Amino acid sequence: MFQKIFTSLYEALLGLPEPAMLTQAFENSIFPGVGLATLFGISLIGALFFYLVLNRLLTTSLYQTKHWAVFLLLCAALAGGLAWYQAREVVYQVLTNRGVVIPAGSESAYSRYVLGFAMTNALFGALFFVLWSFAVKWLSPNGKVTPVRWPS
Amino acid sequence: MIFPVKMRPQAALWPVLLLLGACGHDAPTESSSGRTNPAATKATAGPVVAEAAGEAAKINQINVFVDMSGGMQGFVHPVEAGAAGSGFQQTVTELLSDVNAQRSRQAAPPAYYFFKEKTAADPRLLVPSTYADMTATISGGLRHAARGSELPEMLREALKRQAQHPGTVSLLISDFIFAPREKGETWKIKTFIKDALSELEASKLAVSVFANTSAYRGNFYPGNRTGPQPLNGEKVPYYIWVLGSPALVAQADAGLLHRLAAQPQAHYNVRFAPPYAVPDFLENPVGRWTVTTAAPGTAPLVTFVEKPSLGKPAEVVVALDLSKLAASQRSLLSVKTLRVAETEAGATLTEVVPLAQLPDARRQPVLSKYTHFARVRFVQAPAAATALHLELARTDPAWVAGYSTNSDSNIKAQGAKTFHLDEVLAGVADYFADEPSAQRVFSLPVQVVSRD
Repeated sequence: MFQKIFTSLYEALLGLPEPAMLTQAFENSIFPGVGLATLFGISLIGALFFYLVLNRLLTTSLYQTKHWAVFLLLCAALAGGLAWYQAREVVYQVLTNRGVVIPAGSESAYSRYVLGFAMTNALFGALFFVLWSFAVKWLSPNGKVTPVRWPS
Repeated sequence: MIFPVKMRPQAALWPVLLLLGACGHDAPTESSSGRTNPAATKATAGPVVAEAAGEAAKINQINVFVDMSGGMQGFVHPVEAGAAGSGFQQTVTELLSDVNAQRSRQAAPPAYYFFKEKTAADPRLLVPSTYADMTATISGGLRHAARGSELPEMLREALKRQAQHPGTVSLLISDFIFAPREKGETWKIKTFIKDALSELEASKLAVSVFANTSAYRGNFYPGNRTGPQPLNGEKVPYYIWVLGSPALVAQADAGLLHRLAAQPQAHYNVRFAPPYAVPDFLENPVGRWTVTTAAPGTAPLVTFVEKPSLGKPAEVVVALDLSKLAASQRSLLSVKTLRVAETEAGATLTEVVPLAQLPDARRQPVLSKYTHFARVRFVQAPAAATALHLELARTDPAWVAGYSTNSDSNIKAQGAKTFHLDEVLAGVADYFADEPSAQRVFSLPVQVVSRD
């Protein structure tokens, strides 16, 4: 299920994997793996850390929207970095297992695709963080109205 | 407790990084090995599995038949100390040794027979023998050479034993000079051979013929029944025929007879299964498609991620390892002889190149185990999951004409030729004429499916 969801999400923005020989590597491994890690490992943890740890358990003064925005950017950067790292790692592994290299003519297409994937995932990381924020902000007495008052 | 403000972003990183590391590594490995595309599994489960099961068939027994007519005597003279045996003695001794080495690996030990004609004194056609006796005869000469032997009878006897025990492979070693009893019946050689083979159904039988020559010393008895001609070391052809089921003969050809791989040979209905693959990592790929192979030995599945069309065709390259194929058959491979069969996918073969001409060969070491590359072009999406077969058409071997003669009365002047060999092999070809699988050297399935 996650494989399908994330594959559709990424391919809607990115198009099909380039070069086509890496389609399986992306669709079966990279998209679901990175997607799940971004959704939970980065954005959910980030949101929980901001609302629950900083603004409930520790009651710091970091409850303002500008602090929230720092976390938003942090999530985006982490998500982008993870996508970049993971895509290259898995592709390297797949190529090593098969004993092949990316053909010379497709190298630039591959680089572009991985870069695009990192950008897309940065966007998703930020987006997921926003969504999680609305889901968990009621946990925080201080951050309840961060970034906006809506819905409470 | 309150952390200094500047520390906090860094502190926030740690749990995230830890979890990220765990997720990032576990999730991909699990999904890549465990989950497979359900469409892919469905498509490969069909006829390919059955074919793979057929390949696994094992040789149960080997029957060896050696001609003991007087015409063989010239090949098997006793060898003086220090001298090398004739080519026949060396080749057949090695072959028998290989056969004998298989005895514990098969259900029944190999059986050895001398073959001769029926006479009033000894009405037997086959004289059972042993490995020791047979090798001794090959190196020491025939002690009671028969006057003659009839090729059709020899085939019939071998096939009868084969019909009784499925899984049997028969090796027939003879000069295969077939002279019908009535001199006027030489034009019927073809039919005699065809009739003899019809002991078994054509779909269940395969025949491989390996030709070889060996020094011949002594009287040579011509096939057109003229007087004997004494030879002193001139080369005379002899043949090793392999009979059995299509998959088993292919096994025997690649295994037992590997020493004869470079010899002229003819194959009928032998199910060769050369290793092949569809590499998706070649330069300048045309179209968008991916390849999966469910398990080694099953057909590769090509999935068109983007449906091919006239304006946007897709080209799939099939890599073939034909190194185990006879050189004569390998040299046949071209766009004209190779064909794509049974496809509604609108696929055409556009190019066949040897490894050396493939620009990727140097960069991709994996490709070096393949010898030829066939490019198949698709201009439309396959309607449903279909399998196309890459086939090499069988052609009559060219060497046969050079080994045949209509009159071998003066063999000394003619050189290494066999009486009406072309007719004998035409009989074999006639017998297989209505068998579709005998019209191709190999047939390699590739599954194609297009993704919605």
